[in-house]
Amino acid sequence: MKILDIAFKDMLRSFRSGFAIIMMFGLPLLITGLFYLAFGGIINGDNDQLAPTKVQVVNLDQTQGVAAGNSLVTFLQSQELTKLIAVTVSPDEASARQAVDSQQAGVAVIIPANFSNTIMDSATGAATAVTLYQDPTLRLGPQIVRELIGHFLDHYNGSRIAGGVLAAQAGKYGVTLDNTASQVAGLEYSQWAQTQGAQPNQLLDLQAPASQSANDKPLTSLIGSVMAGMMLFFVFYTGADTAETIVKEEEEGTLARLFTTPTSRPLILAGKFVSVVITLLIQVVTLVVASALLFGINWGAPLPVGFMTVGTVVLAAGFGLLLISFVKTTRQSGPVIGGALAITGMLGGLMTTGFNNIPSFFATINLLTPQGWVLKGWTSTLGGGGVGDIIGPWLVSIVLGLALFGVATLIFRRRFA
Amino acid sequence: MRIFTLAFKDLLQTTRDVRTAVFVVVMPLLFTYFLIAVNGGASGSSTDSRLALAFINHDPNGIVSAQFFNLLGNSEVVRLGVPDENAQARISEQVRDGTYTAAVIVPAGYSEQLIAGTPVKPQVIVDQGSESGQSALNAIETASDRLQGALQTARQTTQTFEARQPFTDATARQNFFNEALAAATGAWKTPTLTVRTEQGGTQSTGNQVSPATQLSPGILVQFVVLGLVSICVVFFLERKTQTLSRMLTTPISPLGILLGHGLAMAGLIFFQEILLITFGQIAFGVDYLRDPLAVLLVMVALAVWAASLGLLIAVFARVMEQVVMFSLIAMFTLSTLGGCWFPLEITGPVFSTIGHLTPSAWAMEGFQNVIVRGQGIGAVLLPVGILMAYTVVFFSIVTWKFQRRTSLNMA
Repeated sequence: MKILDIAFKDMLRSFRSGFAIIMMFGLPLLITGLFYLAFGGIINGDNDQLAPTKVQVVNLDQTQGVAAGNSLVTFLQSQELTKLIAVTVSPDEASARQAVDSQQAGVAVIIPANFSNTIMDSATGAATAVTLYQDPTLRLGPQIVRELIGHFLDHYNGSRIAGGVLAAQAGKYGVTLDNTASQVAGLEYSQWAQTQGAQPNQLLDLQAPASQSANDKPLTSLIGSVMAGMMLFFVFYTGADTAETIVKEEEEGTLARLFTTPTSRPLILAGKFVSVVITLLIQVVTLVVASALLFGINWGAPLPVGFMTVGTVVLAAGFGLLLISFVKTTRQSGPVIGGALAITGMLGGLMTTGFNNIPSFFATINLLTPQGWVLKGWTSTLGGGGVGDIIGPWLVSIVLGLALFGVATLIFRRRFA
Repeated sequence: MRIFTLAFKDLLQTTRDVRTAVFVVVMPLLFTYFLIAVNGGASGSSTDSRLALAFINHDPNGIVSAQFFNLLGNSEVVRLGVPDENAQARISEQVRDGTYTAAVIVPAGYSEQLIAGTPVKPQVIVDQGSESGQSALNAIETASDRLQGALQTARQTTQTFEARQPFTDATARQNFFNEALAAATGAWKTPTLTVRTEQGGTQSTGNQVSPATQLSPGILVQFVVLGLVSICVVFFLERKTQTLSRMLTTPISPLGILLGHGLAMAGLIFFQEILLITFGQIAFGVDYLRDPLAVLLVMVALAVWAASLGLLIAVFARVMEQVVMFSLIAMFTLSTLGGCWFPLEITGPVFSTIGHLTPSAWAMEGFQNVIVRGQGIGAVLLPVGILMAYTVVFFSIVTWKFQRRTSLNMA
């Protein structure tokens, strides 16, 4: 009973502190919320949510007749693309480039003077390029423009290839074709390409990777990953911060006073450990429920989520107690807690959960830290993993947490002997 | 002179605190190195920077699948890898874990069915929510479109030729078709019309801008705010321990006290900026020295603005913990909204518009105008002016609050 009294007193102290509340619940939800606001709508593939990229087009191709340059300008100005790009026709190349340099536009599209002639002149094999002059700080907008123009050009490229292959194959087999045969082949290809263009995205069977089965929307998947990273960072922080009451009470002399009471020292320390565990449990459960309600995160099936909650609490409590066992004064605790948690959190992958294409060796480095193991478990639950998938990280969390807890207890016992 | 004495005292007090070394020096350097390295922005890396694409072919002898492989192999965006059988079984997890950005799985009988005109789709496993996933998917779609185009070309060519000169048998026809398909696929390697990308400012044709040019200034701006904590604490403790009240009885004016503390904050931040900029330049080749004067202007404006933010936190905080709390909230909010962690371009229009109003966004703009856009001093004047305007507003609030406190004898 005394254990619970001591734990309750410490918890009361924690939960009365505005600072502790902000660190436990406010900051992880704030950071995740900012990501949610930043990418809401966009990541789910809804490009309408993006501001249209400002494009300056300069058409140096003034060829009469075919006028493919004009066709490209018309294509870029078409109504269907207005949500993606905002096109302004520029009088000359210099002013188009200047518009990009002065950030009046994100991309300048420069259609070369020989554009139409190159398309028409299949005999010489000459080539040409449409130049995209882009603001180097932009990525998405120029990529969209590049794709649009690439598709447009491939239509012409395909027509030329169709004519060229027919001529080459006929020549190889000794068949003479009249001059129009290649043009007819190109035209036929062009007609086929137009029918294909009307049926986009039918050539590939797109599937999300395994992690997105529980959070089938890419945005929810990103937000789930970010939230997991932030939750674990601040849970480990709370573990150490709550355990810091031992040092505070030692400094203030209240711990020494407690030791003079009939309550044994191991019981007093046990009460403080219980307070850390219950505080962390409340924090994890609150964050999981709140983020599920606020951001629609599906953390996974209840059983593996329950397992990982316990694993996280045990490991964060053990790690926090161990950190504090090395601290002599509250003055030392700031840099020790801040420094150690930032570095292990960073190496454990908590700061990079929203990143893509992280080198694979980094997954191995993650597992050198306690945070890396719990993150692995939570990533599995977010991906719809069952108990079988999280049992490894869970066991490591429990065993490591208890081991750190044991070491911390030994250090505290020697310190307060 | 008193202002400088006060600033010197603050700096001395702060640098003696181990927290300063941790939060101003060690953590920002580690974060900069780590985040840039993880993003593949470390300089001197000679590895292929294209996105890894797994190609699993269940149609090993098919001519169309072979041409699909060739077309993907030509891509400047993806580099092909063929996973072994064990890896194939876990391919979805490997895409999730980032071993591969995407995977293409060609079904058995793919070539035969396509040649026969039966629709058949290769499976593509990709995270469409990620920027790299989208880039990989675009490359796959381009290759797939071109493959369909090559098939159409082969069909047309075979039919046109057959109309002129019938084939002796089905094998001859199939051989002719295969040759035409190979010729068309080969022609797609060097299309007549291409798109050439020029990066503005750097004038480097087609080169991708290193992630370090986003993350190096981004982490700098982020840690400038966090670095304020230790020196804010000094000012705050002066307030709480009545040292400040005692100082107000001396000839130094309240404004002088604020300027002294502000100068110390700006000095500490400026030192941190020099450290991080030197590190970014040397370790990652971020070209801060392209125009040293322009960068210096942004550094000074950022340091002065951050100092005014530090004073604001210190005069409004009621307890010590609030100093840390306000600093952390400011750091996370301003870093995210200001585009320190990701470019505002890839966020929604509302977020992006609000983000562009923050001082952190203007600091990023100032640095990136020089290091990425390759512009000079003229391009940093607006960001610097806006940072200074924020400084004036913040400092006015600080002065008002401080004078109110001193007049009420609450300092």
